[in-house]
Amino acid sequence: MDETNDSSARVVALREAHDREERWIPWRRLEVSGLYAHRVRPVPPRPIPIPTPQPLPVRPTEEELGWLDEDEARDVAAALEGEAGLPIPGRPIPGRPIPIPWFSREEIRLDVDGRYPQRTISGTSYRFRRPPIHWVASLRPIRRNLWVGGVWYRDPNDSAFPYTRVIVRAQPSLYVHQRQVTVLFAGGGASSRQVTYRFRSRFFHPVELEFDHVEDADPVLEIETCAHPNRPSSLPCETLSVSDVFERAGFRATVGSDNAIPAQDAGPNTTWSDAEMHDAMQTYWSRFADRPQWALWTLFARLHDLGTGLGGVMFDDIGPNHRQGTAVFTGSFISQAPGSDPSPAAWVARMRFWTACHEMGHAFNLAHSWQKHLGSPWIPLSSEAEARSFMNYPYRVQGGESAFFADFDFRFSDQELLFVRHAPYRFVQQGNADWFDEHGFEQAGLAPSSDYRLEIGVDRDASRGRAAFEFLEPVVLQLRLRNLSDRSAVLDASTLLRQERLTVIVKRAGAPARQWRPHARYCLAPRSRTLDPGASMLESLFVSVSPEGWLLAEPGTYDVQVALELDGQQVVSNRLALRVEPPRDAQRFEQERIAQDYFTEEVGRVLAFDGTRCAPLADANATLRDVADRLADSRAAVHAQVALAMPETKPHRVLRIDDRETAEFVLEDGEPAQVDALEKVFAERRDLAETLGHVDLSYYTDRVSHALVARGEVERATRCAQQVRQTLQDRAAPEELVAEVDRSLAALTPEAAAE
Amino acid sequence: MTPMAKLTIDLREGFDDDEVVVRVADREVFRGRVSTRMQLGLAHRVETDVVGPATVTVALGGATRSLEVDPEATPFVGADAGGGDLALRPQGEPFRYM
Repeated sequence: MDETNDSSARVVALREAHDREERWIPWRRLEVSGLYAHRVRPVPPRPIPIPTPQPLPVRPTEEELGWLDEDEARDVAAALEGEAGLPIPGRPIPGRPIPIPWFSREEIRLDVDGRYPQRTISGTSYRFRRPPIHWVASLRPIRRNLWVGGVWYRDPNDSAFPYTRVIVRAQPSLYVHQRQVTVLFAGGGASSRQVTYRFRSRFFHPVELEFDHVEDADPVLEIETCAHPNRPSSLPCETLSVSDVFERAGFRATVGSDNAIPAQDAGPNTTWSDAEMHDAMQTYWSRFADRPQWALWTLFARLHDLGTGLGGVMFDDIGPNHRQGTAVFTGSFISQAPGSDPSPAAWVARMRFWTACHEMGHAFNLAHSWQKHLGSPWIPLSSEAEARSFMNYPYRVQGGESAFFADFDFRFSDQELLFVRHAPYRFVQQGNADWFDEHGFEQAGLAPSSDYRLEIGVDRDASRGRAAFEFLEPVVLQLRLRNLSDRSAVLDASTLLRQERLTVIVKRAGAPARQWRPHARYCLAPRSRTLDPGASMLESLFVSVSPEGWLLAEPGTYDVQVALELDGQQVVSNRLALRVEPPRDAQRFEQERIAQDYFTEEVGRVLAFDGTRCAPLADANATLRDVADRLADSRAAVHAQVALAMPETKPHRVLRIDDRETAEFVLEDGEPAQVDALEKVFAERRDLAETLGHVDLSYYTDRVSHALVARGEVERATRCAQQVRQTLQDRAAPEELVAEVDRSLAALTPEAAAE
Repeated sequence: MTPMAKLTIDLREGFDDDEVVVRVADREVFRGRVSTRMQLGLAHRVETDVVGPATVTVALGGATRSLEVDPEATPFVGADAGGGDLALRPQGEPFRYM
């Protein structure tokens, strides 16, 4: 027998021994399942050893096994042979290390014993201003309290969490403060990472259940499991409450007060509509809030408007925060025991109890057992039409309701338990919405102090605390990074141009926050720049539009905030308040007509790239010409003319594909008319600096001046640059920008024209 | 004289913003776009009065299904969509949802 087979046989033997131990002497084992957490203080990242990307599967490395004792290491090595796990997200670049990810807070859910163990570990790692990373791994026991597993789910599936496998060791203890779990993350081309988590709870999540009932309804919150004779012979006889059911599903369930609701709240027809129940929820539920929370409300009422055919409903799919309210109708068919039933009262109590748990299951985002393949499940699921689960209809299985209850253990299926315990909890938590909604700025540990300050603003006055932008006017932020320390700092001169290090959040009042993303990422060679104490560097940022769509378009009030990752810390800006005005009355029709073509992905892209000559984007250019011509007085017209003129300021390389699909790059001269039009805008518009911002105005001036010089028009170029210089000076723009225009002016010479 | 009876037609599983037309005894009783409310398994309920047996016809896109119904015996009809097809099912008791 070779070494591998020998190891495998040993692992099998160990596993069998482990299983025997679990089966026969459970009292000797202290349970270890539950929620564990790890919190770190913000520190600069450690030096990163450069790993060697290897094809999968790989043998476990010394780094992965070194923390285990000799026997453990041997068993883990044997078990990990051939363990591939989820493929590495992205593609490691040879010679480029995947950095060890840095998280501010982490938690894991270890699910290996207790009620209905799923042999799974999942984790959530919180990052600053980015959605948390969520991962799930299946575990195989190796020894007592030691498991290995492959990561099979990762959300988001990007390189921020590159690991493909985990080695998990639990330390049980009678004393809560001594319980801990150590996880070694490995694979995926990254250096392995070992984290120890402290025990928090034997439950995976908390949930607060509140039950209210209408005066004419008969709530059932607990039953005797053996009250009805049709049941599994192995079913333990006990008093089982709704909160017990959810505790066994992994939730620390607390039960809120029970109010009696007047029957007249249902209106004159005495039955309940979804809207009436939603109103009642807002009135009577002590925890009602338009935000995600681990809490739900259950109403026991007599009948829904749909009549006796509706036993219960998760009615809360109104408004932005769904799945917070459910109802059970105790006057419906669930209270009509079959005529031949030997114990009708127990039948009714069981159906009311079952229905309550079923509807509450919907509030945890569980689908009906036969619908699991529909919609957008978190992982590919198959329907469980015959499942003996709270989420299946008893009368829908083969043999009907009596066959169902003969084999029903008052539980959710394993697939459902895996979901509620281990899916990213935005999918499960009641009322949850998109990540980053409302609370996005609060979830990460910020650096307690920083040597830098990031300021964002716009070069215009604010009215009533908010800078106003015209309808259609692009929003260009001015970023300023200031050195607050008392010593000089050497930074990359392109720090503010590295947009992948910026997190920009745009939030319109009353709508979810959205993250701005750049249209392009630039690979910039590092250039050092010394920032003296008190000095700053400047940059502009066009934030109206992301590749996913327009962020600042509709009239309304907005907040914008930016964070910059610098030296391993997040430097967070002030929060900037903006207002987008509605269309002007005089031009309302024209503005609204053009807006239909303007707020498109194509126009957004053209503006983000300062114009294009790309033929497929001709429609976008036509829209911008429309803006420049028909809305000439608007500030949007200035930006439109910039986008139309910039590609014409110098010869432009264009890809031409002929009828035979032969492609070649052609260098085309700029179109002077567009540059002339922009020069005219520069000369005439008094609001130029306000709408373009000082940084971009200085940059565009340089481009226009050089285009004029290239045509031999030195005098016009100089006049244009001088006007802008005067504007910047009058507006007390930063000296470095005025100096930049001065440098442009110095280069506007007949010699340069001749070149 | 045959008494008037109530007929309930439930558009149930499998509808996803689909244009549906329901006719009873050659009379259009419903036309509209419907989607199944997944937590119930019900998209829309149509109630109408008929006198004596009648033909219930449900049209969804290119699929049309008809069923002869005696509202005295089976006053409830369920229509389920799936794979571009329709299935109609009569029954004497109301359909049950939870």
